[in-house]
Amino acid sequence: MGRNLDIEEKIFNYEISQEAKKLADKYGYSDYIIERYLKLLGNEAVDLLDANEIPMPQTIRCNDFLIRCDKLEERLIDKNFEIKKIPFLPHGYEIINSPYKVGATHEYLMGYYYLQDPGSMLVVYLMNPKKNSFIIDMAAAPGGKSSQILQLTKDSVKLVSVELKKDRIKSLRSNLQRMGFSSYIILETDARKLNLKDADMILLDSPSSGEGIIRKDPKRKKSRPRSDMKKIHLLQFQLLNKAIDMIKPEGEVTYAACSTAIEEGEYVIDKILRREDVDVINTYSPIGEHAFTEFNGVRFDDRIKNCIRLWPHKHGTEGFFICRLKKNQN
Amino acid sequence: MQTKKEPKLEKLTQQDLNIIKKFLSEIGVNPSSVMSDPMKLVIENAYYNDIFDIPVQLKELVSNLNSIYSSGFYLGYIKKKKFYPGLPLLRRISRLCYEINCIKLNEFGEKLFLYGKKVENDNIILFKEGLSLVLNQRDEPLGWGIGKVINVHKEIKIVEPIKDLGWYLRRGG
Repeated sequence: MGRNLDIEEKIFNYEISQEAKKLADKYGYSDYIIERYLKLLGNEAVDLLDANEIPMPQTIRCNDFLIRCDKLEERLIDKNFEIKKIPFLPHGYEIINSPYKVGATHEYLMGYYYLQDPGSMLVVYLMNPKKNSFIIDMAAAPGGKSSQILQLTKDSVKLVSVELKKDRIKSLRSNLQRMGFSSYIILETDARKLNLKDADMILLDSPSSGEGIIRKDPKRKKSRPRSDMKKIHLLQFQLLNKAIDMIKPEGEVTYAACSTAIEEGEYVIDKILRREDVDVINTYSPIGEHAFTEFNGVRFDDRIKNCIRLWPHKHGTEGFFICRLKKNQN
Repeated sequence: MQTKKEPKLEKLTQQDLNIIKKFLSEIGVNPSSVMSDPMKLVIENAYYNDIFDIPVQLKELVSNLNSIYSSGFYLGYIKKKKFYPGLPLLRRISRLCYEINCIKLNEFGEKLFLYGKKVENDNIILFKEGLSLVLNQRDEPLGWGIGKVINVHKEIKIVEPIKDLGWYLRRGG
């Protein structure tokens, strides 16, 4: 018990150095975020801060369920879009220049593409959803990953997409319909209260602090008071625990958080690995690096090194934590 | 205290089915070519019912779930004994346009239509009076519209949008 309190203290209540305070002031962040960057990255923290000042490029995912991607390319180029294929994302394109809003073209309205950030796209490629399987997306709105699951399985799947927030569930439905899919059920509920079992695969792109998308939404530099981190962490842990309960033996859970915070990544996985029925899947990713196995003197489960981190300053993406887990046979 | 019933998908009544069939027959479509297992979403105190065509692999699952917000292929909704077609239904019906006749617009007409504006003579390639599916030059569906002849002598034809794909931007969320 005492040891656990000590760990929590080191994860959530570390001291803030003068250097962190100075950088927080300079770049406009909450100081606890900067201190964490310094502890994780050392001098490289400034590279991350600088990278976060560069806005995210707009990226789209071509929906080859409705249109061949080379045809979509042609159509966008005809409309004077300048686009570039993203090498590590099979359906991903970066919009270099666009004559008008990317989310307002006729091709968008026809469901031929979805506006999605590269890290977010990568999560579902790593998950690798299988045709004819029973899949749950536990925090699904606005539908980027649910629609990608349906696309990669050619709409031949049993997908349950769950969303609690009323204001977000409408866009989930609208996006799945616009993109031409039908093999899904949207549930308006708290995923922690689901009464489902024996899923083949579960995606938990967890509600998070959103620290990973500072490039897109600079308000995130300061929007979360430090006291929120424990609440977010607890919610993520509860959701992941529920995911493990709902998956069948040998089934896979993909956990992701659009954040660079250890509290939302490694520490959530470290806690879940205390369950004896869970293991980490060693996942090959075309980009990214190993997750951390130590923070501020706290040693995490060694298996966590097989989880993946994406960094804005190294990979040009959002900040992301991705970890694939497997439920062991009883 | 009585608890609120959770939204649930239920089988259509014969009356519901007749309402949908009536709509489809008006535009010349055989129901079996666009739906196989339609169900309605029943929400307590709602004043309309969304109608979905449920794929076979979801059938068992939907019958055991509450709190359903949406599922399967959205066909439209029934309100006060009338069926209102949804946008996804366009895709299934557009494949039949070679036999049921649909309205077709040129590029400028397409633009106007997707802004929710009416389209006149010069920008209409194929015209049909009454409720119809509206296509662009590439035969891609753009929405539901009504073809009207507003002056027989001068042959002024217009297409008024009922629900177009621009809805996804304006109202889709």
